[in-house]
Amino acid sequence: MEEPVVGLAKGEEGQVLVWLVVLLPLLLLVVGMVWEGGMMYRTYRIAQAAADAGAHAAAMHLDQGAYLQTGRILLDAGASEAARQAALRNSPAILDCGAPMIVGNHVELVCRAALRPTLLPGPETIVSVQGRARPGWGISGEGQ
Amino acid sequence: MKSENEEGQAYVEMLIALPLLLLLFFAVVAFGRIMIAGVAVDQAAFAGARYGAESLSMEQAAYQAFLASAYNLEANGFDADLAAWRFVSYGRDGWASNEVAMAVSLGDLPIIGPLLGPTFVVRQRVVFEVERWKSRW
Repeated sequence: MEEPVVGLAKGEEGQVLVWLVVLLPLLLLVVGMVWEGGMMYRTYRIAQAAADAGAHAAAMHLDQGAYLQTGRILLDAGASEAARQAALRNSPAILDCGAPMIVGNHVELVCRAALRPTLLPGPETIVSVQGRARPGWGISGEGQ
Repeated sequence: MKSENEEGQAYVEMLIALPLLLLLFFAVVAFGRIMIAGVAVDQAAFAGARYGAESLSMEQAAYQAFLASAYNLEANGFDADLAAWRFVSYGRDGWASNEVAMAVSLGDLPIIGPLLGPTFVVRQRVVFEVERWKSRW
Protein backbone atom coordinates (compact mmCIF):
# COMPACT_ATOMS: atom_id res chain seq x y z
CA MET A 1 0.00 0.00 0.00
CA GLU A 2 1.22 3.45 -0.82
CA GLU A 3 1.96 5.81 2.08
CA PRO A 4 -0.05 9.09 2.16
CA VAL A 5 2.11 12.05 1.31
CA VAL A 6 2.19 14.49 4.19
CA GLY A 7 5.24 16.53 3.27
CA LEU A 8 5.93 18.68 0.29
CA ALA A 9 4.75 17.37 -3.04
CA LYS A 10 6.89 17.71 -6.11
CA GLY A 11 6.97 21.28 -7.37
CA GLU A 12 6.05 22.69 -3.95
CA GLU A 13 9.60 23.46 -2.94
CA GLY A 14 10.00 27.11 -2.02
CA GLN A 15 6.34 27.52 -1.08
CA VAL A 16 7.22 28.83 2.40
CA LEU A 17 9.52 31.45 0.91
CA VAL A 18 6.85 32.53 -1.56
CA TRP A 19 4.33 32.87 1.26
CA LEU A 20 6.87 34.76 3.32
CA VAL A 21 7.47 37.23 0.51
CA VAL A 22 3.73 37.72 0.13
CA LEU A 23 2.92 37.91 3.83
CA LEU A 24 5.94 39.83 5.10
CA PRO A 25 4.81 43.23 3.78
CA LEU A 26 1.40 42.55 5.30
CA LEU A 27 3.02 41.60 8.60
CA LEU A 28 5.20 44.71 8.53
CA LEU A 29 2.12 46.81 7.79
CA VAL A 30 0.37 45.38 10.84
CA VAL A 31 3.46 46.01 13.00
CA GLY A 32 3.68 49.54 11.59
CA MET A 33 0.04 50.18 12.44
CA VAL A 34 0.61 48.92 16.00
CA TRP A 35 3.57 51.32 16.25
CA GLU A 36 1.58 54.27 14.90
CA GLY A 37 -1.34 53.51 17.19
CA GLY A 38 0.94 53.40 20.20
CA MET A 39 2.78 56.60 19.29
CA MET A 40 -0.46 58.45 18.56
CA TYR A 41 -1.91 57.30 21.87
CA ARG A 42 1.14 58.60 23.72
CA THR A 43 0.95 61.92 21.85
CA TYR A 44 -2.73 62.14 22.76
CA ARG A 45 -1.99 61.48 26.43
CA ILE A 46 0.71 64.15 26.49
CA ALA A 47 -1.61 66.62 24.73
CA GLN A 48 -4.27 65.84 27.32
CA ALA A 49 -1.79 66.53 30.13
CA ALA A 50 -0.74 69.74 28.35
CA ALA A 51 -4.38 70.89 28.24
CA ASP A 52 -4.63 70.14 31.98
CA ALA A 53 -1.49 72.22 32.59
CA GLY A 54 -3.03 74.99 30.48
CA ALA A 55 -6.23 74.93 32.52
CA HIS A 56 -4.12 74.99 35.68
CA ALA A 57 -2.20 78.02 34.42
CA ALA A 58 -5.48 79.79 33.65
CA ALA A 59 -6.71 78.96 37.14
CA MET A 60 -3.75 80.98 38.46
CA HIS A 61 -5.23 84.02 36.75
CA LEU A 62 -8.37 84.68 38.74
CA ASP A 63 -9.38 88.32 38.72
CA GLN A 64 -8.93 89.34 42.36
CA GLY A 65 -10.13 92.90 41.78
CA ALA A 66 -13.39 91.75 40.22
CA TYR A 67 -13.91 89.27 43.04
CA LEU A 68 -13.42 91.90 45.73
CA GLN A 69 -15.72 94.36 43.99
CA THR A 70 -18.50 92.15 42.70
CA GLY A 71 -18.02 88.81 44.43
CA ARG A 72 -17.99 87.11 41.03
CA ILE A 73 -15.19 84.75 40.10
CA LEU A 74 -13.75 85.65 36.72
CA LEU A 75 -10.52 85.03 34.88
CA ASP A 76 -8.28 88.03 34.31
CA ALA A 77 -7.00 89.31 30.96
CA GLY A 78 -3.80 87.24 31.11
CA ALA A 79 -5.55 83.89 31.58
CA SER A 80 -5.92 82.96 27.91
CA GLU A 81 -2.29 83.67 27.08
CA ALA A 82 -1.01 81.83 30.16
CA ALA A 83 -3.16 78.82 29.32
CA ARG A 84 -2.00 78.81 25.72
CA GLN A 85 1.65 79.08 26.72
CA ALA A 86 1.39 76.26 29.26
CA ALA A 87 -0.31 73.96 26.74
CA LEU A 88 2.17 74.74 23.95
CA ARG A 89 5.19 74.32 26.23
CA ASN A 90 4.04 70.89 27.34
CA SER A 91 3.19 69.34 23.99
CA PRO A 92 4.44 70.05 20.48
CA ALA A 93 1.24 68.43 19.18
CA ILE A 94 -0.97 71.26 20.48
CA LEU A 95 -2.08 73.56 17.64
CA ASP A 96 -4.19 76.12 19.45
CA CYS A 97 -6.48 76.50 22.43
CA GLY A 98 -9.82 78.14 23.03
CA ALA A 99 -10.47 80.60 25.81
CA PRO A 100 -10.33 79.03 29.27
CA MET A 101 -13.69 79.04 31.03
CA ILE A 102 -14.86 78.61 34.60
CA VAL A 103 -17.27 75.69 34.81
CA GLY A 104 -18.48 74.95 38.32
CA ASN A 105 -15.43 75.18 40.52
CA HIS A 106 -13.07 74.13 37.74
CA VAL A 107 -11.36 75.88 34.91
CA GLU A 108 -11.77 74.13 31.58
CA LEU A 109 -9.63 74.54 28.51
CA VAL A 110 -10.22 72.96 25.11
CA CYS A 111 -7.26 72.62 22.75
CA ARG A 112 -6.78 71.13 19.31
CA ALA A 113 -3.93 68.68 18.85
CA ALA A 114 -2.49 67.12 15.70
CA LEU A 115 -1.66 63.41 15.75
CA ARG A 116 0.81 62.74 12.95
CA PRO A 117 1.93 59.32 11.79
CA THR A 118 5.69 58.87 12.15
CA LEU A 119 6.47 55.84 9.96
CA LEU A 120 3.58 55.07 7.67
CA PRO A 121 2.29 57.60 5.16
CA GLY A 122 -1.07 59.01 6.11
CA PRO A 123 -2.95 62.17 6.96
CA GLU A 124 -2.66 63.83 10.35
CA THR A 125 -5.63 63.56 12.64
CA ILE A 126 -6.84 66.62 14.49
CA VAL A 127 -8.32 65.80 17.89
CA SER A 128 -9.81 67.95 20.58
CA VAL A 129 -8.49 67.57 24.13
CA GLN A 130 -10.19 69.03 27.17
CA GLY A 131 -8.15 70.01 30.20
CA ARG A 132 -9.58 70.63 33.66
CA ALA A 133 -7.96 72.11 36.71
CA ARG A 134 -8.86 73.62 40.01
CA PRO A 135 -6.64 76.14 41.74
CA GLY A 136 -5.24 75.01 45.08
CA TRP A 137 -7.44 77.32 47.12
CA GLY A 138 -10.50 76.35 45.10
CA ILE A 139 -12.77 78.68 43.15
CA SER A 140 -15.48 77.85 45.68
CA GLY A 141 -13.10 79.10 48.33
CA GLU A 142 -12.89 75.92 50.42
CA GLY A 143 -9.13 76.15 50.73
CA GLN A 144 -9.09 79.68 52.08
CA MET B 1 7.68 9.19 -1.00
CA LYS B 2 9.64 12.35 -0.30
CA SER B 3 13.25 12.56 -1.22
CA GLU B 4 15.86 13.68 1.33
CA ASN B 5 16.25 16.96 -0.56
CA GLU B 6 12.60 17.87 -0.14
CA GLU B 7 12.65 17.21 3.60
CA GLY B 8 15.63 19.50 4.01
CA GLN B 9 13.92 22.22 2.00
CA ALA B 10 11.35 22.93 4.71
CA TYR B 11 14.06 23.27 7.34
CA VAL B 12 16.03 25.69 5.20
CA GLU B 13 12.94 27.78 4.60
CA MET B 14 12.15 27.77 8.31
CA LEU B 15 15.72 28.81 9.09
CA ILE B 16 15.24 31.88 6.89
CA ALA B 17 11.76 32.79 8.12
CA LEU B 18 12.18 32.13 11.83
CA PRO B 19 14.73 34.88 12.66
CA LEU B 20 12.52 37.42 10.93
CA LEU B 21 9.45 36.33 12.85
CA LEU B 22 11.41 36.23 16.13
CA LEU B 23 12.74 39.72 15.42
CA LEU B 24 9.18 40.97 14.97
CA PHE B 25 8.02 39.18 18.10
CA PHE B 26 10.75 40.59 20.34
CA ALA B 27 10.36 44.02 18.76
CA VAL B 28 6.70 44.01 19.79
CA VAL B 29 7.68 42.96 23.34
CA ALA B 30 10.29 45.76 23.50
CA PHE B 31 7.75 48.26 22.15
CA GLY B 32 5.26 47.21 24.82
CA ARG B 33 7.81 47.68 27.61
CA ILE B 34 8.78 51.13 26.30
CA MET B 35 5.14 52.23 25.98
CA ILE B 36 4.23 51.09 29.51
CA ALA B 37 7.27 52.90 30.92
CA GLY B 38 6.40 55.94 28.78
CA VAL B 39 2.91 56.21 30.27
CA ALA B 40 4.33 55.85 33.80
CA VAL B 41 7.02 58.47 33.18
CA ASP B 42 4.47 60.89 31.66
CA GLN B 43 2.24 60.54 34.69
CA ALA B 44 5.14 60.89 37.11
CA ALA B 45 6.48 64.02 35.40
CA PHE B 46 3.00 65.58 35.33
CA ALA B 47 2.23 64.79 38.99
CA GLY B 48 5.66 66.01 40.08
CA ALA B 49 5.32 69.30 38.20
CA ARG B 50 1.85 69.86 39.60
CA TYR B 51 2.75 69.11 43.23
CA GLY B 52 5.91 71.17 42.90
CA ALA B 53 3.98 74.11 41.49
CA GLU B 54 1.42 73.85 44.30
CA SER B 55 3.89 73.82 47.17
CA LEU B 56 4.36 76.74 49.52
CA SER B 57 8.05 77.40 49.01
CA MET B 58 10.80 76.68 46.54
CA GLU B 59 12.56 74.39 49.02
CA GLN B 60 9.44 72.31 49.52
CA ALA B 61 8.69 72.27 45.80
CA ALA B 62 11.64 70.11 44.78
CA TYR B 63 10.92 67.58 47.52
CA GLN B 64 7.19 67.43 46.76
CA ALA B 65 7.90 67.05 43.05
CA PHE B 66 10.25 64.16 43.79
CA LEU B 67 7.74 62.46 46.11
CA ALA B 68 4.89 62.79 43.61
CA SER B 69 7.06 61.49 40.76
CA ALA B 70 8.34 58.56 42.81
CA TYR B 71 4.86 57.67 44.08
CA ASN B 72 3.48 57.60 40.53
CA LEU B 73 6.30 55.40 39.27
CA GLU B 74 5.86 52.98 42.19
CA ALA B 75 2.09 52.92 41.66
CA ASN B 76 2.73 51.83 38.07
CA GLY B 77 4.99 49.01 39.22
CA PHE B 78 8.37 50.60 38.57
CA ASP B 79 11.29 51.02 40.95
CA ALA B 80 11.52 54.75 41.57
CA ASP B 81 15.13 54.35 42.78
CA LEU B 82 16.12 53.54 39.19
CA ALA B 83 14.62 56.72 37.77
CA ALA B 84 16.36 60.04 37.39
CA TRP B 85 14.45 63.21 38.09
CA ARG B 86 15.15 66.89 37.94
CA PHE B 87 12.97 69.67 39.23
CA VAL B 88 13.68 73.23 38.20
CA SER B 89 11.74 76.22 39.38
CA TYR B 90 12.03 79.41 37.45
CA GLY B 91 11.32 81.49 40.51
CA ARG B 92 9.99 84.88 39.53
CA ASP B 93 9.03 83.61 36.08
CA GLY B 94 6.34 81.66 37.84
CA TRP B 95 7.06 78.39 36.09
CA ALA B 96 8.10 75.04 37.51
CA SER B 97 9.59 72.31 35.36
CA ASN B 98 9.85 68.65 36.27
CA GLU B 99 11.71 66.05 34.24
CA VAL B 100 11.64 62.31 34.87
CA ALA B 101 13.81 59.81 33.01
CA MET B 102 13.83 56.06 33.36
CA ALA B 103 15.85 53.35 31.65
CA VAL B 104 13.85 50.43 30.27
CA SER B 105 15.78 47.17 30.29
CA LEU B 106 15.93 45.39 26.93
CA GLY B 107 19.13 43.40 27.51
CA ASP B 108 17.28 40.18 28.32
CA LEU B 109 15.47 40.13 24.96
CA PRO B 110 17.25 38.06 22.31
CA ILE B 111 17.86 39.63 18.88
CA ILE B 112 16.32 43.00 19.74
CA GLY B 113 18.50 43.49 22.84
CA PRO B 114 21.79 43.49 20.92
CA LEU B 115 20.19 45.66 18.23
CA LEU B 116 18.78 48.41 20.44
CA GLY B 117 21.24 48.15 23.30
CA PRO B 118 20.74 46.91 26.88
CA THR B 119 18.57 49.87 27.90
CA PHE B 120 16.29 52.43 26.32
CA VAL B 121 15.78 55.72 28.16
CA VAL B 122 12.26 57.16 28.33
CA ARG B 123 11.98 60.76 29.50
CA GLN B 124 9.33 63.40 29.85
CA ARG B 125 9.35 67.02 31.02
CA VAL B 126 6.28 68.92 32.18
CA VAL B 127 6.08 72.62 32.99
CA PHE B 128 3.45 74.10 35.27
CA GLU B 129 2.60 77.61 36.30
CA VAL B 130 3.36 78.10 39.98
CA GLU B 131 0.39 78.60 42.27
CA ARG B 132 1.04 82.22 43.02
CA TRP B 133 -2.00 82.46 45.29
CA LYS B 134 -0.25 80.37 47.88
CA SER B 135 3.45 80.46 47.30
CA ARG B 136 5.88 83.17 48.24
CA TRP B 137 8.47 82.30 45.59
